[in-house]
Amino acid sequence: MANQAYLMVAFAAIFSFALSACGGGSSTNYQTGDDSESRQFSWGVPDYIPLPIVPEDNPVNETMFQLGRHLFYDEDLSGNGTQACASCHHQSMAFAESIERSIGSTGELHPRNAQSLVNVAFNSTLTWANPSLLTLEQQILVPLFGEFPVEQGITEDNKTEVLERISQKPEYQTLFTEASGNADESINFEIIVKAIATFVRGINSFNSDSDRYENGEANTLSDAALRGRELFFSEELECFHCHGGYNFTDSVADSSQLFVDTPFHNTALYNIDGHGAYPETSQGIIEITGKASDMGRFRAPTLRNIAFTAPYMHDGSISTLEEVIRTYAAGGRNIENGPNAGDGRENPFRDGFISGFDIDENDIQNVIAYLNSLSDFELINNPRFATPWEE
Amino acid sequence: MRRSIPALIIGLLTSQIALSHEAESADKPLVTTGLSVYLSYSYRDKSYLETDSEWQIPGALMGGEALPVEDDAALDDATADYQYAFSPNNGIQLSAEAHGGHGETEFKFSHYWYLHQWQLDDAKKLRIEVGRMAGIFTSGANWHASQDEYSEASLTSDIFWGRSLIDTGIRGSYFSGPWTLGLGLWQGHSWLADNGSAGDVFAKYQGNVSAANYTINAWLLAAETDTRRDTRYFGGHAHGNVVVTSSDANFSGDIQAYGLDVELSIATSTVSQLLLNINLAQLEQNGDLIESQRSTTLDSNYLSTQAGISWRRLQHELAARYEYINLDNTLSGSAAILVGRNTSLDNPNNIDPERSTLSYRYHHNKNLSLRVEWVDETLGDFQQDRWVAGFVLRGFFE
Repeated sequence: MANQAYLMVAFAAIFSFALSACGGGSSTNYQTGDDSESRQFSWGVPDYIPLPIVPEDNPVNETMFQLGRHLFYDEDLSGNGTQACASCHHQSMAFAESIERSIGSTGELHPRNAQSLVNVAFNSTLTWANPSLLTLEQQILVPLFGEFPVEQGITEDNKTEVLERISQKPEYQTLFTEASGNADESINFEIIVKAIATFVRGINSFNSDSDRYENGEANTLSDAALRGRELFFSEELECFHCHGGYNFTDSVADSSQLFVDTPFHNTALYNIDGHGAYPETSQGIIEITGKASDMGRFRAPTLRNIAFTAPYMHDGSISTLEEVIRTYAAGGRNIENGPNAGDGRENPFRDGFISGFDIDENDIQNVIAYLNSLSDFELINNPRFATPWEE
Repeated sequence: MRRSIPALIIGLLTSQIALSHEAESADKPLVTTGLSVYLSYSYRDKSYLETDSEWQIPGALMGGEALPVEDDAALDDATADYQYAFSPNNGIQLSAEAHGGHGETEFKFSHYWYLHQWQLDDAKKLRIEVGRMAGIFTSGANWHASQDEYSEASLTSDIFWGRSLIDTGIRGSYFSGPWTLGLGLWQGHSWLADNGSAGDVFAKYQGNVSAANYTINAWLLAAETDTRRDTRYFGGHAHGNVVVTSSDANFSGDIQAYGLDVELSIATSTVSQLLLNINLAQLEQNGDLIESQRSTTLDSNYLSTQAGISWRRLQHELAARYEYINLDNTLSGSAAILVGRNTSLDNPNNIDPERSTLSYRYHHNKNLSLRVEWVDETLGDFQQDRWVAGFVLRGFFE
């Protein structure tokens, strides 16, 4: 019996040791380890979001950001001195515009709606439907020099005049010298483009009620918004498949990605000829790729600040969020008459996620309440992003 | 061998034929031609979570076949092991199993392997097994409700092994007196070592002091995995030509696990027995975790403690089990927080998975047991206590 007692004591000792292992406390630790010079820039990007991709030949810094901010709001940066970037991208509207389609400096109507520029640094492609536009530096050339349509209308004939107008402003002398690091270097479009890209790259928004909720703050979302959130991320509504992730779009690129995807979707807005055709003014990436199946495919925009950016869709053809939700609930848009008549629900290129869903009036309002919670009021009132010409 | 299901059940209830999984004796043949069947059916008053929700324990990389329990009555699992003996010392085994859930039952062939044993002398033998089989280096590596005392898999079984460590490989076991030494080499077809390879060793000592028998088993497993995914919920949802998966996160890296299993049984009288067991295990995973095209380095260390006690007198048995797991993870890299939050690794409240189970079992005979359990658990922010009532059928048919 003594041996058996020893055995019991030994077992009790193991048991005690096992229990002493309890209470260590589970933990998941994060070591982002990003103390690089790039992270020192005032990104407005929280630690839990990776930084956007920055071209090696245009590193971010405050000098370039401030130069870009001046240029962004300067109407002299256009062929006829009447239009700035900010003419179509208003801070109060999260750097979008309230009209269906923008009007260029010469009065030409743009085929598409002006998108929000917020968090645009995280887009995997720029503009609504161009899989080849991958950097802001590439994209900015389009509004500055583009002819189809004319936006800011800078051409070979007037570009010297534009540079002279810019050069004559005393504010730019110091800004350009600091930005280029060379007092002898003349003002040129290479620096102009890089500076605007840096400014736009720095317009970031991660300070909405929804962000606060996801980071554990209590009482930041109403019951309606919480119900809307549940619906938004449900497999019934499918919203999150194209508008998921930290930037509420599946078209996202950042410095942590192994490879970048460039998705485009046909949201079944049109079906003019019964074979999936969109209006000739704007047909999606088929205009670039020439592939028939790319008809009507556009990039899913971020839904951050969506409450500020009406009207909606690539051509601004839907004026309210309520109408957008009804369109998706129907599985597309049926236009019964007019030049664009056709049943988008029957569009052969309709994306698999636009499958329609049942939703009642109350839940439509709940989803809108959630979308409203993505608004960042600090962004639209932040003097850092406001025009410097009125300071 | 053709029997109707009612006849099979009646046969199980009345059969007094000895079961498999008996303690190994020198005289017992390695392989006996026949069919062993096991079935567990239970009622639960609550389920872990709503249907179609994913079961993820914060802080753990889940996978394999670790699916949550469901409320109402359901088949836990049923297994059928058919052995064919070429001789008492070699033969084959084929195993099929069925699992219930969501009102459906899924059948599959799980194991098939060849066994051969050499009797070296009176006290020593060597056994080789080749094929697709379950890991036996520790008891929780492959779990079935129908072959376990409890109706629910242990947290260690679910979190460490994905409930089912079944792989193709070769295992050698050497028996010498009270010692059993084992070595297994695996191709990497199990969840844990998916697309990689694995090897395990174990050393078991069985002794006795007076009326007490004890078993001490020390084990070690090393594995590597490549692009290991949590496929538990794959294929369950489709949108036209788009197939949705619950998570595309995958892990590639090295895995080391080691542990100690101690079991002590004491005959408290001629008709009663006290059984104590302690299981300690540690699992380390180091490698790259990729989620939504983002990569982060994962360094995780899970520590599991499990203690159980049961006392059986004649047909009645009372048992209790306590489980506790410490889940430590460190994710490094610019995408660390994003990947952590988008997988099950984020554990903002640093909660340890913990579970206590009380059980009463009535062993009608060797073929039928009834069991009632009360389970109290905390998994992440989720705390639940539930009741389980069910039965287990077992039988062997030559």
